Amino acid sequence: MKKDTAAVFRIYILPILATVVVILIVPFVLLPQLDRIKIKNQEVKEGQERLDRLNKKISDLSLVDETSESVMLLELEKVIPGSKKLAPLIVGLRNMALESNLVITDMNFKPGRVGTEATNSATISSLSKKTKSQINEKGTSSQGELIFIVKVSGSLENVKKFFAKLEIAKRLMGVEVVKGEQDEEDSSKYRFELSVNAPFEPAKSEGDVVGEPLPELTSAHKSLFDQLIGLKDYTNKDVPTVKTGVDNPFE
Amino acid sequence: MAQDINLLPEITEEEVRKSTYTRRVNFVAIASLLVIGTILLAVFGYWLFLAANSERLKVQTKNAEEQILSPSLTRKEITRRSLVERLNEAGQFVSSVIPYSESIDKIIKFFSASKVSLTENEFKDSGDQTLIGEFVSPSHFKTLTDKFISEGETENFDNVTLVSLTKEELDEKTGKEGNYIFNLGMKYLKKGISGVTSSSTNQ
Repeated sequence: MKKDTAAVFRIYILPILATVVVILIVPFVLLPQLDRIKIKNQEVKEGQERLDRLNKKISDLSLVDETSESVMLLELEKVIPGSKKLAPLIVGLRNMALESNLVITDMNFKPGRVGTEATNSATISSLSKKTKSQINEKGTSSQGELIFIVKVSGSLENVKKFFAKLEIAKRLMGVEVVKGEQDEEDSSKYRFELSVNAPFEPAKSEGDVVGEPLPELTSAHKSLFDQLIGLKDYTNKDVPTVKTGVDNPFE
Repeated sequence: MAQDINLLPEITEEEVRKSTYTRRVNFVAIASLLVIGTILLAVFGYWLFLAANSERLKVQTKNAEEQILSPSLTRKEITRRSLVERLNEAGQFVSSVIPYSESIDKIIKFFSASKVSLTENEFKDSGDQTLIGEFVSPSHFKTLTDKFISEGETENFDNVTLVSLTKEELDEKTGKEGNYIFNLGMKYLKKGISGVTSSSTNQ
């Protein structure tokens, strides 16, 4: 009986070994290798897509007219500056009020703070809950927003003129809340409190900037730019800069 | 008479079948081993091809990145990005700004035409407006509200609602009848600065 089993094993040694090898190779070698190939394939595919994007970007960048776009950017700096630029803003507001025969009675800025914080601390008393939440939502967006309070006094007609100037001012400003009250002594006069938002666009650097495609400058952008540079500049006077971090910056 | 002697051992039919079967099984085993071997070789070959491809891509990507990060192209990219971002931002901003000057212009006209005086107002960037004022005769107030709800103003004002209406008490000293005080709520619908359109800048 033992002799018979040994004989059968000797005869079928090859098929037995082949079966064992196949059974072991498939789960321990072939399948893991297929998984690795799948991952590598994906990696190569993504690498190829990124390389294509980079090559397209290089060709797009070579077509960019740097001089002309730098000039456009310089002009746009007056419309949406890269930083808060408080001094020209105050000069502009004063000029607009003067031209509209309005008296600015108060301006409330919070330098060093933007968006949400400035709104919370400076304007909280004068804004409704709904408006505050709206500003909070905007304050968390990527853009910078300088929100401040301006109080003006004058006739309704002059307030209208002031708004008309504010709307076409080159430094973009949006009025979020307007509160007006008739003067108790002079019924032709009104006291207005405006919550103004002046956006600015700080430089951003997020994610894979190198791999990101170059944004397209469309004809719609160009047309908007032409309209924006047609707005009126109320801050076209040089505002001298002063020393910072000293006791008396005017010395 | 001599009888023939069979010198060859007799192989049974069963033994012949068994031997053929064993040969076939061995052949199949070898063939399957060869197939598996070929598959493995192909898989490794493809793996090597992918690895080589990946390396080639890495080198090419590195070169392309270095080219993009060169000072001249970096300058161009920063300029373009800043320009487009600011234009997008400006486009969104001008399209969402409420033209208060137009709204106040209409309010001035309507109030002066209807002889109603405006004492307080509040405008919000959601378009909600509250106008508080006073009038002597109800017909004046009717003229005012008619102007806000007239057909030509449906694209400017909506939801014109009288929130409250009270009458001041009679002045005992002068004998003058008190004014009516009203609170009018409405929604101003217009948005965007006239002359500046931001059509599809965010495409």
